[in-house]
Amino acid sequence: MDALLYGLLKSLDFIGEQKRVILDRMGSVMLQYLVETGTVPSSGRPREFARSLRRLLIKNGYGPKIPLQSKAMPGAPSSPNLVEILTPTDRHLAGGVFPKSSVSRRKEKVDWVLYETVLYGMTRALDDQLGVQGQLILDRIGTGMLDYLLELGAIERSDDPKILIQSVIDYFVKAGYAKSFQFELEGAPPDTFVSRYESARYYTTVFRRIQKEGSALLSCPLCLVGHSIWGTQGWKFGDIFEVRIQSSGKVLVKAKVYPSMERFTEKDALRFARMKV
Amino acid sequence: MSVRELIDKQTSRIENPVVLLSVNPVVYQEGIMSAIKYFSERFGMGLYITLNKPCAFLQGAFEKDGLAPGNLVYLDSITNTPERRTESCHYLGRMRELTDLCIALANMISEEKEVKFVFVDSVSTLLIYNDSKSVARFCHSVTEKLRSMGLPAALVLVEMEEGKDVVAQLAQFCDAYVKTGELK
Repeated sequence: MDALLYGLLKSLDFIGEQKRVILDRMGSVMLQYLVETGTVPSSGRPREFARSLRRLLIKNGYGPKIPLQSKAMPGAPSSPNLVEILTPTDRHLAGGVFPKSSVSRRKEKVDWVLYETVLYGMTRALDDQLGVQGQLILDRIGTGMLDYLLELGAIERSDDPKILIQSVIDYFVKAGYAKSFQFELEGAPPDTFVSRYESARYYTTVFRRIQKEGSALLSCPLCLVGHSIWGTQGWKFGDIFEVRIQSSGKVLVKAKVYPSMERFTEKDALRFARMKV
Repeated sequence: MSVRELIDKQTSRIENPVVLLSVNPVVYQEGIMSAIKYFSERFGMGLYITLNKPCAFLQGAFEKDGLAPGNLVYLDSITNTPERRTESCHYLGRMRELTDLCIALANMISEEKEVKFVFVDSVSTLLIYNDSKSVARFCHSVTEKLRSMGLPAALVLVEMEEGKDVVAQLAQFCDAYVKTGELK
């Protein structure tokens, strides 16, 4: 969770203080998600809402800083900013300093529902604000997560992208993100990236919901970190054109992938220039 | 200064300007709305190339903001649908190749004789799945084609690190580089 939030805040640094606008939107989408998934009751029942939300946060180690009470209306929630509550303040996120010694006072793993709430919130907020361009920021989040995990020593550094990717997969599988993950490239030259997961809850919850809402964004954290590593070799990821989610929990995802090469050549430009309109 | 004032200040004396419009992510929607209204009022009917948000969403948003539905035709390469044509939109399918975009653009301009400007939203989206050199070359080809036909254009991109090298290249062949301000 900390790696994800580090990546998120780092990726928005370039817009300065105005990132607050996106984070506020994200916070309200997160609350909406928790209500819609039945994790907390509707804010129309303020006391139950506040109690339930507080219970969830405390259970996940976010106890001391939950301002859920409004002085004006005792018992009513004061529009809690979830992003602020979940953001670790002890790691100087903005400065990029994250000493190993400060590894979590909180639980190392949070409940999946809280993690998916953050994933859904950031995806929807970026989609609402930027549409598909939001993927550029999501990919930056992957880079930030990778930096964080490397710095923390959770993933071993390697100059060999294949070894690094395997370390990332091992990390995410061990952390419970999926029971297993395998990938392969199809085509010669490769044009399709095939991912196979067992029990990857992201796809049955967040991804399914996002797709239904018409978004083309991909916020699977394992994929985002992977994109970052492949990106160092000049690879780009395009549209996800096939997704099969089986009731057994198996997931197959096929995405277009583009090796490092020019995709609109001088020849293409010349052909277009000669086209009669 | 509003986006339309910024564009007007830099382009009012140019007959058919090609504008590179760099928009802060926080004011993206407002920036696009303001720019499209400016182009629409100044030049008339436009061709909106949407790579970023589905045409149906844009039509609703523009109409809500007072832009007459007949003022734009769309080339949509983001809606997840097989290639098809409706009265106001040519759906290409999601994230199509740059060469496909070129052909569709040329065909649409040729068919829609009333089109008086072209609006590309956005160059940043192309950078998700294309190398920056190809994106710059594509934009150059498109603007050259439009210039040869006397059509003004706007190339939109969202301000972020990823597009910086492309901005420098695109700015060289655009008449104006308009950078939107911050949230007021």
